Amino acid sequence: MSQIEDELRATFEAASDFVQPRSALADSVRNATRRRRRRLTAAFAAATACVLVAAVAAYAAVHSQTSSIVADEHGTVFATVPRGESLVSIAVSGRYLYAEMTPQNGPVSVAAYDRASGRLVGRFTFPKADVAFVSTGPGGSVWAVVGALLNFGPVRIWRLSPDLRLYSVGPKVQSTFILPVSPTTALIPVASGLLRLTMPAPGQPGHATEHLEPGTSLGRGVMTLGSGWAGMLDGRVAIDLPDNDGYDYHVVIAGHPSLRYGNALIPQPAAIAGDSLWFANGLNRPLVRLNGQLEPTTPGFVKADPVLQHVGSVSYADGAIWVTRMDYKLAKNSVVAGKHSLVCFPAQSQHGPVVTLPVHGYIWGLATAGRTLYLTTSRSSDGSPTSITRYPVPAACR
Amino acid sequence: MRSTDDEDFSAFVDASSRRLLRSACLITGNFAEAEDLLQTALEKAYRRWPSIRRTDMPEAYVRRMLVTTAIDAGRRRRPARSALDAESLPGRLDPAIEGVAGRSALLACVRELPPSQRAVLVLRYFDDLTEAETARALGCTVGTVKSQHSRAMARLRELVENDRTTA
Repeated sequence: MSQIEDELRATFEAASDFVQPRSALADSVRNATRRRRRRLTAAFAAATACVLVAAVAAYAAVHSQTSSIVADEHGTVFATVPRGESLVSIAVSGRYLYAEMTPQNGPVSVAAYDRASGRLVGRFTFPKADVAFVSTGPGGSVWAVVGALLNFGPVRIWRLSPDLRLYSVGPKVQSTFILPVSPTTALIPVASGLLRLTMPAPGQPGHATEHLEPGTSLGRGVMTLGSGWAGMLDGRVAIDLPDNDGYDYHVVIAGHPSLRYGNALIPQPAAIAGDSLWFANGLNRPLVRLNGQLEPTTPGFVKADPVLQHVGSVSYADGAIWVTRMDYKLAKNSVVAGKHSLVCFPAQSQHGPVVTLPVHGYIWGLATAGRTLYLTTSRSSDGSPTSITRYPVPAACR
Repeated sequence: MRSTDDEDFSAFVDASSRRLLRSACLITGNFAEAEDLLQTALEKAYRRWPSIRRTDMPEAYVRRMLVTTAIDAGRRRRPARSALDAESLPGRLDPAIEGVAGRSALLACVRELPPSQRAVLVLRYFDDLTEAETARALGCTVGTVKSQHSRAMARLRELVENDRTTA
């Protein structure tokens, strides 16, 4: 053994002798793992505009107002998912309703139901994926951001045919949201801006092409893996992004990173209606309306309505804003059970009315198409939704 | 994860974390960065712990994640001055070892090496791994370990010689 090798051993030993791992390292690792799981779950929950919090607090009675009315519509079961599976989110496009489902053990899948008959027409299982965000776009296109995130696996873009029988697989991305802008093209927020991705038709040969959109910087210190949602706000792309440590979400306008709004620990509930962003700065916070410059322009009837001061989720479809109300209360370190209420109001109205729907149980997912509202609910806050219920949209919200 | 897995993971962390952290410190030259790398590697291991513990080589598994990540981090940026800078070594090191300019100087020379060569030296002379074990830890062939090792030693001799001449 040469002298330099002996000296290397002695030097390495002496130079690192002072090193001690921090105390309770195993606990720290477990806690960090749980925090990461919670963060990813929260990101996907908000992206799908579903209520995805395990429990909610005691239900506070919905106060009546002069501008509020209670609808008398009742729901009918539209579809029931296979036994052993639960619904994560739903979306509507054209003649199909899409439902993202997870089994108790196994990869996530998406199913297509015929809206007229409620019949299951197609189902696709993403191999080895534990999360998927399914997004519908123009021309009936179906897109998905799919990944094995809980094992730090890659996140990849898929494009599927409307009946889910054909698919194309796109590139890996560092993002958890996709914004379809045409039947073949989608925008994806990545660290350096918006990626414009064009993919071949599902099942057809060809390669995906991608390029960075000029002038779409999202600014420094944001993380696109964990993005909450994105949408076109007054002709520009608004995105909900966490900062680099993943715990502080803001709305950012792509290309104008100095325009920011909000500051919350989880993705904020939001819906975009043309030139307005309906937004709550965290769960159980008041609903506000922002313009394209992210300035508050909240109508008086929204500020006055007590239901709209405790937002759980916000959706926009066919001219109406839909809001679920949630209350959170901690009791003995756990969240008290309660139930949800659901209201809607015309997006362009300055005076309401705010219409309450008599929905029972916990609302997990919501989608509307024309005069039909689809909901996924469960009886208890820790239950999993296993069926989709169809309601007529109240006349005031059509 | 079952409670027995949790207990097993805690026992593994207690038994192995110091040695793994020392290796990471020596490769990165930065204590804070080494702590972060170890935490990340352990988080990955924790997610897969039920399958990792069955391999009977959990430390090798974590070391591989740690070392490859440390090399990758080292390639992206040159390490900043740190707790392992030569000047900050404990005072008990003998500065007048015959044949080399002292351990502080030797460590400074090691830190001049590319991250992958530094990792080979740490794995061979601190962790006492064989060439085959080093290859497994780095995810490369034994031939690559041999060539990296010989280049590292040649470069190290050169740096030490220059240091002695300058002194």
